[in-house]
Amino acid sequence: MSEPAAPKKKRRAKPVEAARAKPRRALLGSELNPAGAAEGVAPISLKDAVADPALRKMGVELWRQMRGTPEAPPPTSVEDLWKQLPNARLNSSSTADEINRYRERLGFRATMLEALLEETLHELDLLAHAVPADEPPPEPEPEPAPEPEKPKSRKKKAA
Amino acid sequence: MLDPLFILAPPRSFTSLVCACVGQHPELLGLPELNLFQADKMEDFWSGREPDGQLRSPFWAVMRHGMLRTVAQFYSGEQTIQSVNMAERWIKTRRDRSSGEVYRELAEHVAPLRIVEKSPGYLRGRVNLDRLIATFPNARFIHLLRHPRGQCESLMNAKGGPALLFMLGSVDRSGEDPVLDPQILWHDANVRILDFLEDLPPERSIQVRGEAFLNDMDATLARICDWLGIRGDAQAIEAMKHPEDSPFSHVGPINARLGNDINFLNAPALRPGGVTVPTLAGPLDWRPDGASFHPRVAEMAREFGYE
Repeated sequence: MSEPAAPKKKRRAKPVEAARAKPRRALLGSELNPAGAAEGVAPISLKDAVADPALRKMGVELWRQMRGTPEAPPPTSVEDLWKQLPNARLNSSSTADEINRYRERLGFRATMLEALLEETLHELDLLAHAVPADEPPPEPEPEPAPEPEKPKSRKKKAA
Repeated sequence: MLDPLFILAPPRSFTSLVCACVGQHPELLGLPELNLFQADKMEDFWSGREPDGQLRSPFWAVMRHGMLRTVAQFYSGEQTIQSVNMAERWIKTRRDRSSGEVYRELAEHVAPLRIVEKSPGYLRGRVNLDRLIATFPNARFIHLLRHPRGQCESLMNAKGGPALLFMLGSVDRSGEDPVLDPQILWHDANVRILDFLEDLPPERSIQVRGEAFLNDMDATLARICDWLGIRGDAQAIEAMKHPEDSPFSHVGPINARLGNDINFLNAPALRPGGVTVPTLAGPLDWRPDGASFHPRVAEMAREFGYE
């Protein structure tokens, strides 16, 4: 005699999204980029772009297109990339008065920072000559041999 | 406090519009791109550098705008040059905290409203998504879809789009010369999302086709409300059809202008008329060899309901 069939468990409805139920897939970035990352499409660092001639050429072309200046010198560092952004007009919610006051504040900050930098560099220079208070006193130098006495000048002082 | 609702999608998938629309629901609050989970510590978020000293992106300073605008709005009730300066100090005083701690602080500040956010940068690595779910184990997710042809063409035609694709590594290097190919980003970003969501209970996420969202907004918004368990009456749906009413749906002050796609910030209102859904068949405009979609891209698109 066979055991009575266990009551059928209510199967949970499959999610509408069939894609989710499938096993994890291979990544296109890994397949189409033999040197690429195993985790698929991954940001290209500036270091990698510079080291690879084909990528470098592509990157420079794209950068020139973005700037709209085909003759622009290629950027050489990340900071350079940032500096070379096109001088587009930047719209904002700030009024002319607010922008002017902000400009004044930034100008004041720039002056302060310049002064601070100058003073800091000067202080660093001074430190190179600092004598620590707890430094043992230098060995007394041997007394130099007395120089032979020079003959006195016969020239008379002008009146 | 309810854990936030995140919108996951590759760039140029209507994320700005969908996030702003959904975030206008009376029980929700749409935010700009915070990018917080791209860093572990707030110090790293502020500096934009990885622990090994590498800069995350040459545009990192801009990627902080969303966070600055959010803090300014939350704690000053306005977004001005001064309030953004305050927000800078607010962030800097939290430099030793984790990005998750700070995100929770923001979520608690606006409770009972529930945060809605999208930062496409989270898809750059699984580690970002892992940080997110460790912070908000009960977060909800909208996997926002867009037809690969529409998304790829939009990226290729956007100002700075090709440069972005290059930086993100969406380059086909299988031939003699490298070819910029946005379908790689479309595919791998979606794989990353699917992989991540597979590890969560199915009720925590929903797939929404961006084209359906725009072409049949009432029904799609009602579906989202139903899934979230929030009111879906006519008044709530109407509020969601006005993304331009969000305090983040315009350019910000000069020291934090963005936090979102500039095209959206300049024209955030819904436009009349729908969008057409392209087809999978046929050559791709951006491929010099006249190739069509990679078989795996076409297969995935069909699973998403595209033809």
